[in-house]
Amino acid sequence: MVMVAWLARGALLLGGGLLAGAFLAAPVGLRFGGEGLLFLFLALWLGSSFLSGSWDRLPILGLGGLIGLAAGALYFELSPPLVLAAVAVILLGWDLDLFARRVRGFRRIEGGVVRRHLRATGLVTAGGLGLALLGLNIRFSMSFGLALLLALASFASLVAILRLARPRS
Amino acid sequence: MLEFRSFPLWATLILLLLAAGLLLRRGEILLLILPSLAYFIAGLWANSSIAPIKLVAKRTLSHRQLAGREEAMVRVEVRNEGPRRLSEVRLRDRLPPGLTVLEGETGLVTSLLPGERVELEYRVTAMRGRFIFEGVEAAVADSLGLNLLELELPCRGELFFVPRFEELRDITLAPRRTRVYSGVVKARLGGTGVEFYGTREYSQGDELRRIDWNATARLTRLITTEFEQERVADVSLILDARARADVLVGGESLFEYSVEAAASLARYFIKEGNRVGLLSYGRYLDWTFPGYGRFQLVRLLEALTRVEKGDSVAFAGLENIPRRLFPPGSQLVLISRLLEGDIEVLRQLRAIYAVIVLSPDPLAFELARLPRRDRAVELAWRIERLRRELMLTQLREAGVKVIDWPVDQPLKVAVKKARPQLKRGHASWSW
Repeated sequence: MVMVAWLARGALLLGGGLLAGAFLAAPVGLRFGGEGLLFLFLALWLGSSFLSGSWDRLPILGLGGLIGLAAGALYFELSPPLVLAAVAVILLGWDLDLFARRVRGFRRIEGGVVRRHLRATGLVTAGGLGLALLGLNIRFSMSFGLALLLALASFASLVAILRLARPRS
Repeated sequence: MLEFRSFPLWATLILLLLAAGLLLRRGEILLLILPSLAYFIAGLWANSSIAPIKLVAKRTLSHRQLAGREEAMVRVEVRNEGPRRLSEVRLRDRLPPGLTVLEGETGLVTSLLPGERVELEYRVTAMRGRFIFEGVEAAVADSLGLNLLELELPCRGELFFVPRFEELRDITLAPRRTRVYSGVVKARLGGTGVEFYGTREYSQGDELRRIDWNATARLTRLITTEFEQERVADVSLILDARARADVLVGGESLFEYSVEAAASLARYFIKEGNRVGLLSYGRYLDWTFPGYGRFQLVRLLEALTRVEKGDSVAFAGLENIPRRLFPPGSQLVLISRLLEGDIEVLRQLRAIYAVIVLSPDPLAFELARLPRRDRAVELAWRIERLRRELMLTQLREAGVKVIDWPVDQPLKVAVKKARPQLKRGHASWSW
């Protein structure tokens, strides 16, 4: 499915470009060498999209790395809207890349599968980005103790969900 | 039930961002969770909204048994018998190794409404072999591809490619011994038959119409004409399955032509009423006990379908051909490209049996498949050609009848060329 693969690569380049833009727009004192890492992760990821086999694990590494860089950028307060948009687009690229890898080797793709996937993934990405941008305007404060408590509660709930969603036969 | 495969990834990502945001006290990092959380929630929702999945596959094959290189049509119908729409279904028919797809697709990605069906259709071929289709691999995912269920839809099928054979005719056998049943092989015995054999003195009970009146008048006593009896013979086919005797060029194997020749000969000799056995001589000995008729032909073709070439120290040369398997004086037909050391063994066999060698020509086979022919190739070819001619001449001189077969020609053409030699008189041999 060549078209989806190129869409994925385009989204990754766009997301990487947005993130790079945030890095480059930062004052010199706030730069932490993220551009180099960004280039490395993107190059590995895009390179692996042309290969198959064990290279299929690289997108996870790429996604983790790029989101980590985005977190670093936000820590240094580098243009949050740009970074959030970059992450949303990178997520879209990741999803499309995975879809392209899933259907690679199939020449018969029918029944509107591609269209339905693009619609669903577009909706989810747009929803996530919209929420994140909305969140930029919400300001509230909490004590460190409460934050820690919330973190622990979130962790416990995630573990519970993980158990619930364990593969069933 | 679908499995939320990327659940650990999303959970870890969200957890790490949450921890980082809270520990670094950066609200913006917490916002990074939201796009990931959207995927996570979509995945959970898709996981819970999927009803039980029921896919059923049915396979139809155009043939069950066919000759090598013929084409069979495979159709696999997959139907969604579950209550819900399946957004992404990946189907891949598991093809038995050795089959070649000529046309069509063995896999597809589609979506299936309840009750909807989809069909995979493709044409396959093979040289020979038994091919068993087990089932179709299916992977069902939600429209985001976050939840996945892999399953195998059983739909067995079996294709049997017997080696391709040619219609042959007029292969004259000259065994020193025949069996008691009437057939078409000259038995070198007087009696009832078609061809004149000799005359003898009349004995009581001879039919009047068989009296040779001219000879009777000349010799002034009653002389009876005798005809040559025609009987069936024991024919043992020996297929040279030594890997070292094979030639492989561009994925094509000379051995496969030998197998096809063996099938053609088996069919011909069985049709002529003979008792035919088959010995495959390679990694091990595979002996198909001799027999008559259609069932024997089926057994021979089955044996040829499964025959494999291989090497063994014990069977590196032809000297270990187990002679006790073949009745003395019977007809042996060796199908082999022939190696240097084989000539002496064939000479020895010739002392006990009538021997025909059908030799697929390895030089013509290889030359026709070479990508380019330069002067060095031409020279090498001429040298090898001379060596082969010498080998075949040595065999002919030893009384072995040789059919030299350039495999790109039909076998019947090679048989026709060798016919004068095959028809030549029987070698003298006292039993």
